[in-house]
Amino acid sequence: MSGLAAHVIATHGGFQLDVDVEAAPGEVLGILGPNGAGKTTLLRVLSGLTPLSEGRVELSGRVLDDPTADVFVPPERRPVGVVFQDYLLFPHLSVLENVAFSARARSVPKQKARRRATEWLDRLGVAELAGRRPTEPSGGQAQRVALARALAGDPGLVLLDEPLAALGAGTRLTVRTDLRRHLVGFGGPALLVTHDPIEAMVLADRLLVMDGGRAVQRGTPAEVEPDARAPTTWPGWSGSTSTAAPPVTAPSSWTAGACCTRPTSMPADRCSWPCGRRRWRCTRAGRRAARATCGGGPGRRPGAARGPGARAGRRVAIGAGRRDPGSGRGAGPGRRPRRVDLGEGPRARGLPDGLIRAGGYVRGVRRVAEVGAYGETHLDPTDGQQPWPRARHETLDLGSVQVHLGVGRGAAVHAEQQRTEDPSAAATSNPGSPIPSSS
Amino acid sequence: MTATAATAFSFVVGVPLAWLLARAPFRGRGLVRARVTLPVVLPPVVGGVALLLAFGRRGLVGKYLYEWTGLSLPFTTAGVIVAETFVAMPFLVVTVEGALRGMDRRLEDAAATLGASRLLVLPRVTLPAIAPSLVAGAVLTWARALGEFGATITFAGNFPGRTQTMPLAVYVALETDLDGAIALSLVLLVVSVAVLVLLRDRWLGGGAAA
Repeated sequence: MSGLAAHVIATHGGFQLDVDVEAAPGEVLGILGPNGAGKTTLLRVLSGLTPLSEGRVELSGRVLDDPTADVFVPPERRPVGVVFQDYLLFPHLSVLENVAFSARARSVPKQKARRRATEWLDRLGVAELAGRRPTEPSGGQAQRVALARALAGDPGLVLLDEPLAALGAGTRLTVRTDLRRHLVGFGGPALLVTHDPIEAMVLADRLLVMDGGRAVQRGTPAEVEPDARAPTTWPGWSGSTSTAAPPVTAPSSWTAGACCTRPTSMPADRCSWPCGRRRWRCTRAGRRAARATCGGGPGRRPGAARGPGARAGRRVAIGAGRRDPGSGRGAGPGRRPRRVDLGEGPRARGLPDGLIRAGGYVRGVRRVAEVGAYGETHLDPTDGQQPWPRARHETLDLGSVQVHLGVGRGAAVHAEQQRTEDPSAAATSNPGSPIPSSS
Repeated sequence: MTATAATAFSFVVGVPLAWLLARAPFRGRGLVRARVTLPVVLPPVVGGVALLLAFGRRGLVGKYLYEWTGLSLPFTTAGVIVAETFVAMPFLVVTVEGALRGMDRRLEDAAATLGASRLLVLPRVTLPAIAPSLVAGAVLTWARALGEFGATITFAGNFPGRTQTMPLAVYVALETDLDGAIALSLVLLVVSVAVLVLLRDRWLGGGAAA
């Protein structure tokens, strides 16, 4: 098997990590989970900083760690590049020397090491920083330097620990887009640890959701994100072109996530989110609402919550995920959303890869297009131990399209067309499913 | 200058010792640390007496040292260095140990993932990271060694040209040649002030950040 294949069992001060990780070359695997889920420990194990207690780590067919076979490759001899949480650039070395460090550590002559380091800085667009101290660059630049340093060692695997956590909200968006590009360019498997679902969604090809040291969900971002478990209302977003993210109300009928013992009627893979001792949170079993959970738990049908707002004409329901858009029940006759498949890559000009890869589609409501839509994330802030942030929104201004990314309880992902001519532009990218010209 | 030699000696012994104290978990670490820092609280004359008892020609260790190698430390220049090291090294050890404990060990992890072995991490990452503390510790040690009086005079005596240190010279000069004593004292004063100026960013909080 090429790529990374690891079965990791490690204890770290009473905490047990037990998880299988696989990543193919060129794939970005997002490790998502609340604080204390064992994400960072996992990275430490893979980089060799913490030894396995059981299991096996294999990269491109080479065994890096296998306690039963008494194999342990120390970190300095693993082909693994790590971007640490706050980058950990060496403060006493210049940026250039930082990037040249791995080559120097492998006894590459100074001149050659510097030349290569310069190339890397150039590739990541921070060549002008070469002579500076690493404390000077801004967060986004420091992140690129850290990435350059990790990649300069020519690793077979790249690990990124919360690569965007140290950035301010302003730079995070651009850095995120860049990071995605560089990770795609890297070619080997990459693991990205984050506690931020948006980040995971945008950057990763596949997700591994961890909690309590175990994997609780795996799959593509679209699969892992809950299947429209709860309806979301987003007052006033219809037709709005405001760049400010509209306020979001948490769904009152959030039943899918009720914490309960798993009812026998629910397939196991739908009840995967542990929320207490022997208690699970179930997603709905099918397309229909979440009342299937937990033997008649406190379920209201999602549609019930969606209705009134929509009727009022001020709220448009964003039934998330894969709900057939044609059934956009709350949207009313004149503004029935239709689906516009943005397709992939260049066809969806203007939208970042990540968003499209996050599984979105565009729905047009008047001049508004909605890209994908996700329900809330997995943890209910009221009973989760470490709640993920409540609905958090970011707006990407892409010129013709404004995209709201939102993740958290009661959030959704949106794109809004800014100009009237833009829907047609989007529609021509996929003539098969035009945006209704109701505007 | 014996103070410089004592500082160098402290450096060679003290830095590894500090590393051991900061990093290696071994039994009796508290005991070792207490032993290292003892000279700070011990009156120097008592330290000198202890050294004499340990390394004197009939002392605990000195007896064998003399019998086997014919070397005798007391009342020699080497004795001065030993006495000064004994008294001054704790300053280095304590400073460096604190720095080692305080540094971000993840920097060493980062270096390891970049292919640096532990032997390489020490000079390329760890020591540079604590460089300010190394310097501060060394300067303190040097200054303390320079000013050392009690342990030196007890252990090494006061032979002009061989074991006479600056403070000893001042002391002698004070009784015979007041002007000379004042001149020597001024030199020491200047040195002390220079040390303070050098360290001002670290401990006095004045001046611009280094």
